[in-house]
Amino acid sequence: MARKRTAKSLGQRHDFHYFQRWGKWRLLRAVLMTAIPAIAILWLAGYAVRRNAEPYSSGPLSSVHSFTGKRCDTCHAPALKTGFINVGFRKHVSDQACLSCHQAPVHQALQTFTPTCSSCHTEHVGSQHLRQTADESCVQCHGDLKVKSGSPHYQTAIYNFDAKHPEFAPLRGDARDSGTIKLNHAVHMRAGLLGPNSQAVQMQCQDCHRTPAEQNQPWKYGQARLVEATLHSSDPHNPAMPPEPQRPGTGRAYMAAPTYASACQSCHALQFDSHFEESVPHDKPEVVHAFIVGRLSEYIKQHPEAVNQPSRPMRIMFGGTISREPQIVKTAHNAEEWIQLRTADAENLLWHKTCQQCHSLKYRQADQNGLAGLPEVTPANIKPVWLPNSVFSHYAHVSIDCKSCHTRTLSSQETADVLVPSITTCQQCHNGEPTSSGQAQNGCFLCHQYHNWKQRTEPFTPTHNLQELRGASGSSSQSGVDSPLGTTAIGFHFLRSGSQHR
Amino acid sequence: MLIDQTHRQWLWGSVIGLAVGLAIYIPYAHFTIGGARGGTTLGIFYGIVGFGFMVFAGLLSLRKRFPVWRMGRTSTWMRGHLWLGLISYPIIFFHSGFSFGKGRLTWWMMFIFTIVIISGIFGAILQHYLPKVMTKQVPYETIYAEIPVIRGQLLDEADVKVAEVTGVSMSSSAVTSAAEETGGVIVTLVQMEEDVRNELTRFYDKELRPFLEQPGGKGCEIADRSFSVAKFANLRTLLPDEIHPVIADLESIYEEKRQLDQQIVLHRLLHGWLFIHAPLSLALLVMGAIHAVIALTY
Repeated sequence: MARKRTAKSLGQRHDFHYFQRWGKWRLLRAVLMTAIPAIAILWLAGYAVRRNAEPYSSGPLSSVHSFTGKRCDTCHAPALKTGFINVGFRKHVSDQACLSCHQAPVHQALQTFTPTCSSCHTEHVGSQHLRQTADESCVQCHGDLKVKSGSPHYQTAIYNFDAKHPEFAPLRGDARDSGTIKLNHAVHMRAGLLGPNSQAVQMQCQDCHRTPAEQNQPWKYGQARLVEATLHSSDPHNPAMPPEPQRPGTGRAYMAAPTYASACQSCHALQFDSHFEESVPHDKPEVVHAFIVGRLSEYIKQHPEAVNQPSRPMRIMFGGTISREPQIVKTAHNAEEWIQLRTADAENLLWHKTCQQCHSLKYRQADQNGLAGLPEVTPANIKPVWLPNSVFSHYAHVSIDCKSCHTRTLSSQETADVLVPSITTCQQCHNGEPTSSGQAQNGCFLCHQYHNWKQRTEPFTPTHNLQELRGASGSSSQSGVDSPLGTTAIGFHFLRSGSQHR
Repeated sequence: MLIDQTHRQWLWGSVIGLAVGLAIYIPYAHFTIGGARGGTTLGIFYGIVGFGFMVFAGLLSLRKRFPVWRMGRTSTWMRGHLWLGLISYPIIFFHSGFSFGKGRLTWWMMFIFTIVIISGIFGAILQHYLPKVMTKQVPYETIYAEIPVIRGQLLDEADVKVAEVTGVSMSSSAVTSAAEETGGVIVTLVQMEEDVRNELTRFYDKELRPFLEQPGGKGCEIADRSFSVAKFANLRTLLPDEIHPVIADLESIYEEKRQLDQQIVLHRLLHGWLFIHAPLSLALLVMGAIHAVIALTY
């Protein structure tokens, strides 16, 4: 009989309770459906048992905060509390949490909006420096700057360094250098300039312009001079402090104002009389006057025959002798008169030629001390920092030739010339994100600081202790220090320890 | 599931939804300080929407467990599972600001999510094409879980067929019980020569029966369709015409068994990906819920 496959015969051979049986595949599927989620839960439970919240971190902490990376509650503290027990669901990092460790002076008294710390200093993005705030943080106000009262002193619409950032303030309009030292950069940078001992020299920028950290090094045209504060003290109650640790850029950000002793004296000697090789001190006219009188008095005591010699003010300059013509030859009758005549000649030379070569002098009336005729030197008024609202480091740019940024230097003949590089010079390199090839970063934070650190209050009172931050048990509860987070250290520890400490 | 014209609305709905999400995302990512990330208001919104879609996709298995519930047709749920589950992936990337997860939990979640999506797409492709292949190649398709039972029944049926013509009892329970009923005597329906009986017995005992017994028929030459066709044709040549109906039945049984083997292969292909997709999806939902609570807390 031939084999037949009818619907009935096919139906009869099936067990209609087959779905109640647990086959191999069904069992495997059930095991997997249970096991894999269970593994995930157990993985997280393992961390929970060790009180380690690391898996929940939204990203690696910055290096400065990594020490407390397993103690999330150090920063993530609930905003509410009942007694000393912290309650509340949300544990966003509050400004209070930041201020418990950091000082953060206000930006501007007139600002209309104060962002939260964490909105600018983005954490959990790895080793990036927290000070590297996004431009958008600044632009949210400076894109359309408003102040509480009055009108803003700054550009009201700045988007980034490349867009609508104004030219640097000293270069806007017809701004002039308010310094009073008469210096012709073009002459000083000229090839074959007559230097000490009539040697031709080619001056370099760093012959005169150095950072404070470099001022101890030998000077080509001056004598080395210590500018750092003295660290030695003979006061037993105020012993000498060790110097700050030296870092590569320490003391090398800004150029120190060149001084006569460090930069000028080799070429611009202050000789006052042909009888003396030494120069007068580079000091106030009163000091110079006293020095001259003193030296001449000593000289005439030792050489009384000089009284009868005619007065011929001579000035030795660069190895040659220059007579001041026309001149009136005066003869002294005694030592005092000789001193007066020679002093008058010396001061005439200094005040009207030597000093005036660089300084502006004003003459005043005789005062109660009888200092008639002594000039008053106009303050040099050299600006060490031209852009006070920003920070800059010459050290970071040490590989770049000074003149390639300070382009107007070689042609500058007037002190009043402002030689600060233009913003376009900076923009040649600082024109993009750091990740782009050939483009240096140009974020606001590179040059500007949000916090006004002049407002910093010292000393700062710490609110955490090491055991608390590192998680050692029991130590926090002993301290009982009031925390600015709105809880005591006891409550803080209680929150972390959970119910097992109840 | 066949991805056909009935998916058009879901497809366009998904495309439009994704386009709207993208249109919101671009200015949001551009103007948000610090860039798009999960903790911003819009980031949380994207997270809620994405996770909501994931939960909906996960509820499909629950819907299947309760087919009598009046909560929409299962096919509608399936389409929702497919399309909402698919667009949840880019939406979660909108949520994270196109980061693959900087934290350990979020990285693992994105890793698992990627596997879930890839396995889901792979499964959807298989489920689109394989049923057609199944219909064509396995007309004797049966309930997958019943295949071992059917295979046993086919073996018994073949044993009886062979015993009817050869009088040789195979070790089948059906033949044994038949012999017991007749007092241990096997009555053959066909008279045949000894060598013919031996040839049929040898073929069945050495070739066909091991194939019918063994799931998949591994190592059996006859498992090859072209070989089996030649073999059965050869048997018809060797054996008398009276035996040919039995040979036809044996060939029919062989073909059904071969198709069941084919069904097993196709079924495992058709559903095997679920062993990756389903457990990882559940794990992802659990981890996602934990992530949501923790992230909203901190």
